[in-house]
Amino acid sequence: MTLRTILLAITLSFTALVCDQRIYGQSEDKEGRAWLDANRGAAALNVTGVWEGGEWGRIPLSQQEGGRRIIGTGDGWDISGVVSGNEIYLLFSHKGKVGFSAKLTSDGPNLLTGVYAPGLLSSGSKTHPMRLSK
Amino acid sequence: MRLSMVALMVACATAAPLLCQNENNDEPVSFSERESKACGPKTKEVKYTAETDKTKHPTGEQSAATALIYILRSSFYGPLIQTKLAVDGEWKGVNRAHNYFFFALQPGLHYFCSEAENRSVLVLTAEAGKTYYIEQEVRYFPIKPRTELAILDDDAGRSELVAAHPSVWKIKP
Repeated sequence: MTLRTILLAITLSFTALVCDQRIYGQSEDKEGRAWLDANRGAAALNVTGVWEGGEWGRIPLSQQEGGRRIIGTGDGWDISGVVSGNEIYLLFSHKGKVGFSAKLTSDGPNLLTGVYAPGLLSSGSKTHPMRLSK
Repeated sequence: MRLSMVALMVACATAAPLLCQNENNDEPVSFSERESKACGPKTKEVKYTAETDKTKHPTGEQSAATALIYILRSSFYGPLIQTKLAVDGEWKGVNRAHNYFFFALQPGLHYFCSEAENRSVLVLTAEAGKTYYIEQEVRYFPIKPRTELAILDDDAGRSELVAAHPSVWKIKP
């Protein structure tokens, strides 16, 4: 292995680390809360219950009666979220840092479908499908 | 006029928190807040001596007014490592490998804490008349065993329960 290869590997590792920090380093309290609070509609549904999330495992979500905020846990993540109208916005965090976010819509009382992405979802996010069922 | 303005301002100030109640549910959100609610203060933590009772296999009786909670640990990793469990800051019991225990819980929002070398928190709204099978997963990562709480589906829960033995424990003075 030449010195150039080693230097290239170090540079790539450093770049990956920086990118990783940028994507996953958003604070749940600040950026995450702002992302959730941008959705201000009154809740049109209550998502309390244990949901089957495929690769995410079983996800218990809790929403206060008449409230908008969601709290939950799943696959080792702390989940916080908000219901706005018929839409559900979720943050998956670990120790206060956002790992993933998701936007789902209700397709009936027992099915939520939508997308998730690393970090906070935005128009340029590379998304993956997400499906939660009861 | 001035008095009525003051009265109006006082009324607004009093009503504002009520109006905002649904917007700002004051449920804890951050990891440390959840952990604190689930595990309680260090001063209230209990230490156990635990054993496995292979002579019995008790199961809980489902009541219509409460939720029945099974705490299971099917993993063989770290067989003698204790995984303690608390609900809303109150320590309920302890498992080792292939152990279980159970208890009834009032319906509503609860914070579960599993503790080994680390702590894992699970937030669950328990429904009356329902049975929940909660697994204390144990993994070695990277060296020390880590516990993580997960909810099992009913079939997996029942099958793990059949294969497990009850945990019996004493609280260390």
